Amino acid sequence: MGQDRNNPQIKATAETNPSNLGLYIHIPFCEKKCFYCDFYSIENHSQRDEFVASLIKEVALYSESNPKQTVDTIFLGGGTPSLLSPSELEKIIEAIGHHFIIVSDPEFTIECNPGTVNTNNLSSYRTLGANRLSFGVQSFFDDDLKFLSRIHNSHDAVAAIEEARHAGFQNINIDLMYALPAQTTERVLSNLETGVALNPNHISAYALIVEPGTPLFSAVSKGELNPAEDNTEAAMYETVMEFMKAKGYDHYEISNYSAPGFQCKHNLKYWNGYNYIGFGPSAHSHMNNRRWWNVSSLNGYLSRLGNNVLPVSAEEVLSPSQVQDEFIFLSLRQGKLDLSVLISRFGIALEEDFVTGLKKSGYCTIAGNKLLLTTKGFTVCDEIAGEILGVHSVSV
Amino acid sequence: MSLSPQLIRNFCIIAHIDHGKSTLADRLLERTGTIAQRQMVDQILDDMPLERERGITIKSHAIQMKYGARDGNAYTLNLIDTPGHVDFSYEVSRSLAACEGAILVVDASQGVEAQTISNVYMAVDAGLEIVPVINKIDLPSAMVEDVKKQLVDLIGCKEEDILLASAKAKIGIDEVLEAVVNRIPPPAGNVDAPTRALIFDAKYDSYRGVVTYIRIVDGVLKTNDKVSFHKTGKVFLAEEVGVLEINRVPTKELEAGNVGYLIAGVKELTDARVGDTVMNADNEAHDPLPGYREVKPMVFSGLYPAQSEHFEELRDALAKFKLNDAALLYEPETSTALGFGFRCGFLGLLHMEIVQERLEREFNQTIITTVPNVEYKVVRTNKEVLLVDNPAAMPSPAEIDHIEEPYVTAQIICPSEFIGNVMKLCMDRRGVYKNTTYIDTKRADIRFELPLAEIVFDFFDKLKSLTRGYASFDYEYLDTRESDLVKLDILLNGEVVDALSSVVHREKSYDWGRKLSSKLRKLIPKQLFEVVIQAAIGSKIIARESISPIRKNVIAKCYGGDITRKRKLLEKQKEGKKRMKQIGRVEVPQEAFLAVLSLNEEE
Repeated sequence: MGQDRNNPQIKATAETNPSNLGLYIHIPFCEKKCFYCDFYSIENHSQRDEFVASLIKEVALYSESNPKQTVDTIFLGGGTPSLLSPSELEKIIEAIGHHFIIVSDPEFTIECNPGTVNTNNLSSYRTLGANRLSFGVQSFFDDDLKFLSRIHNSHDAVAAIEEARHAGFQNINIDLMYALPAQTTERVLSNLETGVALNPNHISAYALIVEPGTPLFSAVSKGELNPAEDNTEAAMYETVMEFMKAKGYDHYEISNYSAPGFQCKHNLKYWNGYNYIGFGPSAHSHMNNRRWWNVSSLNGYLSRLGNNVLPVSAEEVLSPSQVQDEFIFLSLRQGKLDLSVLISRFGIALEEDFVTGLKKSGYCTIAGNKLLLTTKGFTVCDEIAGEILGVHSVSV
Repeated sequence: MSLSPQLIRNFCIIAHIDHGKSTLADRLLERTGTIAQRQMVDQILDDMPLERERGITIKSHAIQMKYGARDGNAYTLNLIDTPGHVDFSYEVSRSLAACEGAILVVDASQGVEAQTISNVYMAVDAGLEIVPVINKIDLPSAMVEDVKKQLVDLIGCKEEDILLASAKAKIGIDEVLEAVVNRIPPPAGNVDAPTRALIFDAKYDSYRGVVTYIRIVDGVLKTNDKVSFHKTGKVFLAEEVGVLEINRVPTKELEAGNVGYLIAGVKELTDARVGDTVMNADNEAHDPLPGYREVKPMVFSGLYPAQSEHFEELRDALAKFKLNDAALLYEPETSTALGFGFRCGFLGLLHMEIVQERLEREFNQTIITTVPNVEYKVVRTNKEVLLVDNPAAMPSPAEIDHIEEPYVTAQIICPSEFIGNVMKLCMDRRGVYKNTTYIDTKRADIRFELPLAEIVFDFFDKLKSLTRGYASFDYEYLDTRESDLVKLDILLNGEVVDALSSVVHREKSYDWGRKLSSKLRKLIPKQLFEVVIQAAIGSKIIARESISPIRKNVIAKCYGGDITRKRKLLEKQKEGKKRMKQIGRVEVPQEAFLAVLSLNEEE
């Protein structure tokens, strides 16, 4: 403890280079599936060995036609990557190192469930080269964690973060949730206070989303649970943004706050339209305006690779207007839309009246060529994007 | 080949809606072997999908049957089917002029209804022989004796002249055919006189051009004749003449008394107008046949493409539509709110609905319809008279001396226990009570004079619900009368939305403005900016509502690189926004423009 998250000496990694790839590896296992989560994962771990072997095969198959691409971010997500044993992870990383060129100082993140880490696996992550950990803390209230069907408690979370520091990790993110049913603003603030006191370099604070297909969704549909009302959620969101700003964190994406220099470079590749390759079931990839994604079932994944075929489920090639739409909404999600890029890259401008209206209503400010969302603007970010995409842009 | 007029009978079937007209027509076709039973579909003459779905006839149809009568002769029977709804009464009058007789069908369980009466009057005026038929006599609720008395009162026939039938159960069909042969007179007309044929309908066939349906009154019309159309004076070559069975059957000629079709390379319906007289260009008759009175639109509304870039498509669709519906009138208009569109005149509300529905279904148009209105006669302070068919075009109050609006005579027939409800409804609608007569002990025939504008808004539905569905309703244009009318404007964020303006009676304007604003508040979704809705008469605001800005629209999570899903969500939102109309900075959904129509639901 006591490390200064703003200390430039420990500034994580160099800026990423857009021509380098990000790698995402999806580990589809969880000890227990959280009832709100819509990422692909399963509780049955019997095919773990086959999965690891198939994943290595996928990496090799991909690399056959794309040899030796340069990678500068690696992200192990899931599911629960920390469920894999150090030796399993080692095999995977070895395969990646074998088929890709990894820059000397990559950003290498592993997602961890605070209930599944210990001194041993943390130090093994260091040995593997991981330099960033992301903990799914969600809340520091045990009753919230129980409600969310998390396997850890608040004490585990605090301990895990301390142990991570001991193991030498100097770039740590914690995930926190707000807008839980019946959650009070006091609790949201208390979670933030506790979280910030742990001095993480990055906090991802996001609202609970009722995703179709989750047990949460059916509970809400049946009327067993009432999700937070829009007004409450928006007010909480504003509270979170203001709080994090006051604590010196940079609000650089809808739900993401970082100490200066500690933005998640891997996630920025998603949000900036850069190239990334995803391995594992349900993983998404993007390469030069082509997007594809893997099958979302372990069995499908294993059988495809058993036949030496890449487990791609579908792909799309982005049309110019889709590229433009993505640029606009992803820029807005980062709180800034570069109007000069709109003109130079897409030949469009925003209607002046519309922008004036946004400014007047306190949704944005204009700084130079950039439209910057205000706190209020972030709460209706998608509405603004929809307006721009649908109605308020003009060709120039 | 020559057909003696003595062996021709031209007739139509008139009835109130749902009294079994189309089913009876089906039976006659079946019994005469015009169509084999296996080819039979219900309502065979109603070949528009919309007609079958709604169980109504929109267009006139003609079909020829051969009938071997009990007297040993083979007769040619031309049945000219007619629409039953009040909106289409002009079609009825056209059909009547091509016939010598009419079968009057009355439902045994319903009795005489409003359109039975109006149709009978038209038939009597046209000098037709009327053959009364009580249909559906096999229904348990049939009240044959009561209905007989009603018919005797209505048309002054003898009870024993009334035929009893059930088209559905195939009872009494032969008797109907015999009555057609024996009671309806054969067509008069002189085969040797110069040719005169009445166009009683016309439709556009994309391969053949205009197909006119004609009744030969005098003379003969032959293939390759040079024919002239009286009104336009244009001459064409008769490429094909023939009779109308299930399909068109070409013949060499059509003689006086017969009914058939003519194809003469006419490309525009305006060149072969319904009601016009076809003559032989080499031997023109002196006088044309009496035509029809021009169809006058009663209800007007703006039709706009939902997306302004589709204006040309809508124009093409309307032009094609008009080829088969001469009653539809339209001209381009511009609305500040909706952009370029058309002001359309319709025969009535059903006609309007049908046009909209067919434009959407058959022509794939997504259209925004503005609130329907009537045509006002505005007398300016300088005594200049202005006809206003669009509320937005109403001059400012200071320039108006007075406004006149169209009135109709409304006839409502309902069971006597509902008289009170009907009276109240009509009084609420500014009606002037005329009289009540009793059709029999249980049913009353109530007459009111009503402003047409008051029956345009959801009058019929209201009437039906107040009489548990038992009332029937018909109306006829009466005159225009001075009324204390005002233009009610709707403002969104201070801007008048011309497409939402309406003309209402001053006494009702406050209530109307309040209800309309509140309805719009529910229909317009929350947006980034506050929306203020105001109702105003001139510069006076009479109602105000506001829609607070949207509070939250953001998806918190965007991890794992699945950008596609987020983009698709936004694309959906974007399409939704594109479908709305931009008025100033307010996005207004299409339903809002018809909000007025359902205002009364909330009472």
